[in-house]
Amino acid sequence: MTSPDRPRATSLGWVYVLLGGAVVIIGATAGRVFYSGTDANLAGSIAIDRCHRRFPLPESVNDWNEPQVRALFRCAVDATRTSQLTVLTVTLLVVAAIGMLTVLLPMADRWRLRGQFGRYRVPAAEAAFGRLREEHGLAGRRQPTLLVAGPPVRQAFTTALPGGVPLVVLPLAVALRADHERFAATVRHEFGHIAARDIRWVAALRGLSLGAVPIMLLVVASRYAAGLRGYAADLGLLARTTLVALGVALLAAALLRRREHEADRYAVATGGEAALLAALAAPTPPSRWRPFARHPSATDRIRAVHTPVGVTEGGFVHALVAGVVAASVANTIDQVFIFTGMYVTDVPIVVSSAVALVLTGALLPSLIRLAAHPGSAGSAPDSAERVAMRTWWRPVAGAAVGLVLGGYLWPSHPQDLRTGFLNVPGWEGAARSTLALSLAGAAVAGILALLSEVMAGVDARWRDVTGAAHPGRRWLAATAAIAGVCAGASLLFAVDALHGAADGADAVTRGLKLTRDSWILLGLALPIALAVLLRARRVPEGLPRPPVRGVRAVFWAAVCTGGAAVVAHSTLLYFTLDHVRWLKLGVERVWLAALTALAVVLIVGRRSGSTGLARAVVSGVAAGTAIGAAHLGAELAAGRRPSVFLLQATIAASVVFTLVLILLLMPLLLKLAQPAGRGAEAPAGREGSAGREGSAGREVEAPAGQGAEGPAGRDAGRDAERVGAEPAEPAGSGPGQVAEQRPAGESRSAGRRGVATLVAGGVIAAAVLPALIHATPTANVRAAVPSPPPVTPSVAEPLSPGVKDPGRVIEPGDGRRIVAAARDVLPGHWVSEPVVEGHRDEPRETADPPACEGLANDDFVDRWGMTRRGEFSGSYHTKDEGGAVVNSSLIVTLTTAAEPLPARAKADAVETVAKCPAWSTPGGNARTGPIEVRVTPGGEPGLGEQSWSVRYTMQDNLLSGSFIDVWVIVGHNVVRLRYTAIEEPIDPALLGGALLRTMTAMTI
Amino acid sequence: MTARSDAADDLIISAARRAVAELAPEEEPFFDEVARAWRAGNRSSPGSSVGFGVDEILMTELFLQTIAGAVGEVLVVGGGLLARRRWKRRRAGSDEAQPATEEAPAAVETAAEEPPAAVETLVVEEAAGRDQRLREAVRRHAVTLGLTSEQADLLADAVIGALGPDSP
Repeated sequence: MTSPDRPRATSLGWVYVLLGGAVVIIGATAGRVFYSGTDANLAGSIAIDRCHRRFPLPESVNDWNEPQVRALFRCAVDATRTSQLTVLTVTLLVVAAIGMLTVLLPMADRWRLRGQFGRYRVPAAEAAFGRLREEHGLAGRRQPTLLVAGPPVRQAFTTALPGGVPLVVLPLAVALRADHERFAATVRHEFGHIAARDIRWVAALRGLSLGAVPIMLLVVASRYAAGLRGYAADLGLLARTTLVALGVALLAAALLRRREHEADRYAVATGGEAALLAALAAPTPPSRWRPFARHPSATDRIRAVHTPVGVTEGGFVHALVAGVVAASVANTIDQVFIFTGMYVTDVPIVVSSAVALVLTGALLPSLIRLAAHPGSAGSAPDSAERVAMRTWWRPVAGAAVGLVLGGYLWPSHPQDLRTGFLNVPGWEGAARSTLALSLAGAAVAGILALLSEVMAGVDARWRDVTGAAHPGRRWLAATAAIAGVCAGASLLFAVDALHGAADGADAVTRGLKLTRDSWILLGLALPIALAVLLRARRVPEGLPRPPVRGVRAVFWAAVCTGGAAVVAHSTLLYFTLDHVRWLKLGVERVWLAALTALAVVLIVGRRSGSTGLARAVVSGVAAGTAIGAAHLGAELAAGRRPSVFLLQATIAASVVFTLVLILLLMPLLLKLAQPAGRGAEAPAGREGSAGREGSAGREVEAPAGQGAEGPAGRDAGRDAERVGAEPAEPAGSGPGQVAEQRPAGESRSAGRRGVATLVAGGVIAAAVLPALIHATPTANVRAAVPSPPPVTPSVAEPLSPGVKDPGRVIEPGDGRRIVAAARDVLPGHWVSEPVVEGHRDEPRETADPPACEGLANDDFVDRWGMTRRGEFSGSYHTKDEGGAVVNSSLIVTLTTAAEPLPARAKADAVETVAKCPAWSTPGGNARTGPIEVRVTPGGEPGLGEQSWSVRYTMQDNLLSGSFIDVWVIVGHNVVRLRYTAIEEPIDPALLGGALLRTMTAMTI
Repeated sequence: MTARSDAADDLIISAARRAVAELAPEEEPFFDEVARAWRAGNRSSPGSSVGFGVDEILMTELFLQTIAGAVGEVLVVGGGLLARRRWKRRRAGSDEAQPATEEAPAAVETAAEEPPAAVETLVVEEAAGRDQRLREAVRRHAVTLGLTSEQADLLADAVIGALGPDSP
């Protein structure tokens, strides 16, 4: 147990969270590179495309069909198992390799020190070391042992084998000056590393700073050696991979330097300043290029002893780096599941949880320290007024910017800014994605800031009253961390579900769908944790707490008002038996509940510090739940059958909407909760956390002499002095207890104001909200409930006799209409291109043998001696999102001539085909090789004597496919349909339907 | 880097031992171990990438490095001068059509050409010059390696003393 007055080493746990994120990025990227371009990759892509053919996704979210989508998911997951296993295996190998470094590097150090053990004994140094060890309270597994080492060891360092105690290695030159301050300064610096508990993990940082680039280059080289092809062959991938590796190496080096700065500060804080500065002032050889230097320069170290350099803990840059790493981890995980991300419904929560985990791990401990010790967490003592709630904008803004930067740091498709997490592709989508990413980052950082404030407040309260820390501090910190991860994941999950909405109505629809997903309820962890922390503030030895009248009054007023409004809305005003209308009205009731709950949060939490805001969040969620329960009761009373869906549509929906509103608005709530009088007028004195919890706000306005006497009251007065406000009167049982400390009259007044505001807000909301929500299209509301599967378009309708001669000269308007007619028979996953008018001279295709060039280029058409009057072309193809391997296309070409086509036209064509059963033509590149084309017999279309078809198969080193040309000559016109299918069979029904539609259109 | 002979190492260690005894007596008990490590050659240090960041060097190591550098410099320069002088004499002899027999050793040749008194003078002059050069080299190396001017003077004295006729 460390003594209270002993300086604590700054834990660098957040550094290692970032390191973990970096390892995941390196591993998954390496795995992806390793998998790219393999045959398995191609097979997986083909399999997924085939799944899409079997289970096409609906065009609109309104047509979402759950069973069909799940069938698609199951199909795709099976198809991509190899991809996942490959990427995950390589990721685990890289993680294991980095993990092995934490064992191997210390072992290597030990091995190289093997000749030093027992060789140099300096009793005076051992005695001085033992004294310092006791002084610093290093015991148990952190109790270091000393090794005095001769040449070539010239620098002190600390190493530890896994499971072993730290070994501090001191050069003999230092050990011989055991009575010198320099010895103590050196040992204190090393103890700083031990106290920060980073001895074992630092090996991983060393390995990562050295190994990131080689690992990535090795993986890329292995793929090239194995005949890399396709996507991974892109220079872009190599550049992105190298960028990732360089980024990780830079981060690791920066973290190693940061570690040294923290150890220096610990040494200075424990009394070794003069000697440390003297040691650092000694001339040292220049270090390597600064960004990759694993040790800070002496100049930087001297400057950093008092003035922070680089990343300030809990500041803007720190949060920015955390955000960048979090978003990069999210994108990486997303890319691991790139083929299955849209097929596995739980992937969004996995990604969201990863982001929340990285942000919480990297920020929360620092923010708690910042809230508890504003002057020591990276801030200079003379800037301590920049603390507490009004400085939370720094991490909030940092996380917001960091998520955006990380989101777009290495997009998977740079040309259209396609990335993974919270992404809407394209330049227009980038604006929305940026908004979503920044909003999400700010909100998560806001959640963490609130938890930090309350957590630090618990500690401060106990220290103020009992003089000791809270006995369950570690558990409380763990509770806060779990709440941070859960609430963050919930929020990100919600933003992920909402941010792609096309418009407000779509957002409402998506919000309704969200209520059916239980992952969002993870957000309940925040109010639960806040309730636990608020309860932990109660010190047994403290004064009895007076009733919390202001909060309770507002809470019950909200529940009564909101509940009554919802019940009335559900029964008296808008009762209906129509299911769809009932759903639509349900949205209004849920919004009523959520907005009422938000009003509670705003009234209770406004300008009353973190404790007030924490209480407000708990009260708000409770109010939302209670109003939802009233809604459920009203529905049951109205005779609706109890069901899980009814529970979801009432209580769960109210809670979800309340949570989403509160979580999203957290940065704003933090700002509103900022106590008045804190800011420029605050002096440079150190501000205690207790003072930040409400003592400086309305408490300092309390009339003199109205507070209770007692130790806690004195604490409140001291807190007020800390923040530089007018001397406060003792205000009851301590800081932060705004409501319970305030005189009863003032409390009642606040409650009345709150109730009045709430009722007014409720009336306005009840009047305005329905108008807004009634604008939501009914079709969107349907999306919340299962709908039948979409109907596949029928293939064709019978050909009806035309009133026009299909052999006539076709006018341009008719021509465009005719080639566009096939669109009606194409399934939903086909898209059409604009009709092209006029003859297009295509580049001539070469063939081996050259005799086949005539067939390859349809030269027989030229022999018909047509005088073209017009040519029209309609193109259709299957959707190609993300570069589908499996694809089909249909091109309908209509050529109309000045004179009727000759009778020998078909014979010319058949003769040409017969001369050339097979040929090869150059392929796309050297890897795919030439395309081998083979003619197979085609069927007769049955549209007169001048109609025929030719079927071809194609094969190159990678892919296979086929295409079929159907020719129909009628009078002045030649119609050709070319249907090409790659890695899937030709659909004869589709071709037949398109042909019939086209020919029918010629008769109209 | 030129490899030192055992004799040269012995000479350097002997001089360093004397210097340590005078200037850093607290390191004397560890001198033999440090000298053995120094003789074993330069190896990289473990843990340097996460070390304290400031090199802490024993005076013993410093002296060994200083003396080794200075001795090396003087021996190389001195050896070079001597070789050049002999080469000039050989060239002069051959120009007078008096080529030396291949069997005749250089020392004999020198003795035949110069009277004994001159040789003795040359040896004394060369010894004095060598000491002076060595002193200057030690001082220069010592200051370069971070010793103060006073420490450098003391070290130079110790080295010259250790290499003098009464040295062990």
